[in-house]
Amino acid sequence: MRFLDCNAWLGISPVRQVAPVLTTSEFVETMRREGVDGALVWHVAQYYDGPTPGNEMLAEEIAPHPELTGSWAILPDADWEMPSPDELFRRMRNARIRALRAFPARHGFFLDGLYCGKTLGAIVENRVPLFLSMRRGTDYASVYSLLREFPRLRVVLCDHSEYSPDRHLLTLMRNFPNLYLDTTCFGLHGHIERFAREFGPERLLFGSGFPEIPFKTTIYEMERLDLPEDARAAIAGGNLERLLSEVRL
Amino acid sequence: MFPGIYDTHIHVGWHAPGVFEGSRGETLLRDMDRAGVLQAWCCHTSALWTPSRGNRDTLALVRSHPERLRGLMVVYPQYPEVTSRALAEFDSNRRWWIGLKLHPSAHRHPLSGTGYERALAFADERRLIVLVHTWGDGHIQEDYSWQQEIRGLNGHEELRRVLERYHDAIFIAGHSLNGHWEHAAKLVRGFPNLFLEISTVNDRGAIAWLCERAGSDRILFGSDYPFVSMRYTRGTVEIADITGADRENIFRRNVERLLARVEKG
Repeated sequence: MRFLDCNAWLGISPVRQVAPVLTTSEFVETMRREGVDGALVWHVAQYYDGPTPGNEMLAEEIAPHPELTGSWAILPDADWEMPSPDELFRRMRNARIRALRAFPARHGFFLDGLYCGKTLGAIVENRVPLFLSMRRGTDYASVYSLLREFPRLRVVLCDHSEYSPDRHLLTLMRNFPNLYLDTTCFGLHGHIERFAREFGPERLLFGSGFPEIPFKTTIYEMERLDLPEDARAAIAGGNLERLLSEVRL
Repeated sequence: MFPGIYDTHIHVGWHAPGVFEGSRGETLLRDMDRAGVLQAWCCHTSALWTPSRGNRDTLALVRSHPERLRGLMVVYPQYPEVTSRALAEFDSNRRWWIGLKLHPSAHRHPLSGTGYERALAFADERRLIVLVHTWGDGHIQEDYSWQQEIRGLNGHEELRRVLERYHDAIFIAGHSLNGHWEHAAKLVRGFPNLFLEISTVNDRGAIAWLCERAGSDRILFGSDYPFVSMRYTRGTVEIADITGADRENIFRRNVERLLARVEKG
């Protein structure tokens, strides 16, 4: 099975870790050793330090590593740090960036039409997936508002808690077909299978949460899912590959 | 043939914030089989959240599957009369109960507070298992603000206070003081009647770190099923950079030793 991780990050968090990954080379070596073929990554500086320095650091870090693709963080349209959509896409193309992220609570804005309408409208049209972390910078009320306003936006929710508030997830998944979930700490016992059966395996993406969580922990579970082989393969990597291939920059 | 795992921390019942599918008796046994769990120690969620129902649902479930389940009796620090009634029935149902379950943050009472004194003395006299929900500042706390707010009720300082008082009960630190690994290891080294339970210990390298500093002979497998996948938690041990002997200790040897001690009384 080919594993492509949609939710891993580079850099060193200011918050203590038991086993930090100090360099991107070490990240890539660990990834290979643990059986992951490629990853869509972000840089932890995007969250803590901000999108401008973090996006630049991410582009520099992934440049020598073809198995890594990047996701940049966005800010409101009016922010002087935020380029126009055309300019953003041009820079993304040049830096192997195929997805975007937003951390609205951390970065002090609302992820909606008023604050980010131009950018969000453009990423809908260009099918750029937007990754949102339930641990970092958003909540379910904000996700619901965003999807109500931009139902065609391809949103991937990441970093779920083990104690999953799945009433939110079930309702949002039923009503917004462009919503996807990653597998990082996903849900109560058996929920990957349950969500795959109810919404189709194409709405789930393998995500590890590395380097906080080992790649291997999620792989261990993925390999034992009570799902057909093709469904497991789609979750492991096929779905991310498809989403990224449909991006128009 | 795989000899099976002892899961020292599971639940059954309802889950207010979500859908608790797959946690009734029949599906629990199926999930245990699939994850390779031989025996699980459980408490019903009604026992945690509804003192008026007390521990009856846990007892009923355990009695229906005595070969696979042992019960953890929940103690209510705010309702001494309920706790007294429950403890009075403990001995007559001793074969179903493995020990007590304390959840200081759920019940808003410090672990070392007076509300727990009677139950802890009871457990100490009988050398019972006492599974305590403990928490530090593990990675899931960012979206669990209540854990942050009330962490002081079941953090390392509270745990130390009760360990200094009770030397015969066997304390299991549920979640290993999640995030406060240094405190967890230090307490284990200082108190021979403390064991660490590894549900939600997902941080990369944490299980190996705890094995090295606390010793694998003091670490127990626990999943907190169904809040956390049993299979996923098994994976955290299977993939950890530890020896086969460490894994054996965590999965079963330590519990076998504890069971021998508990059965002896």
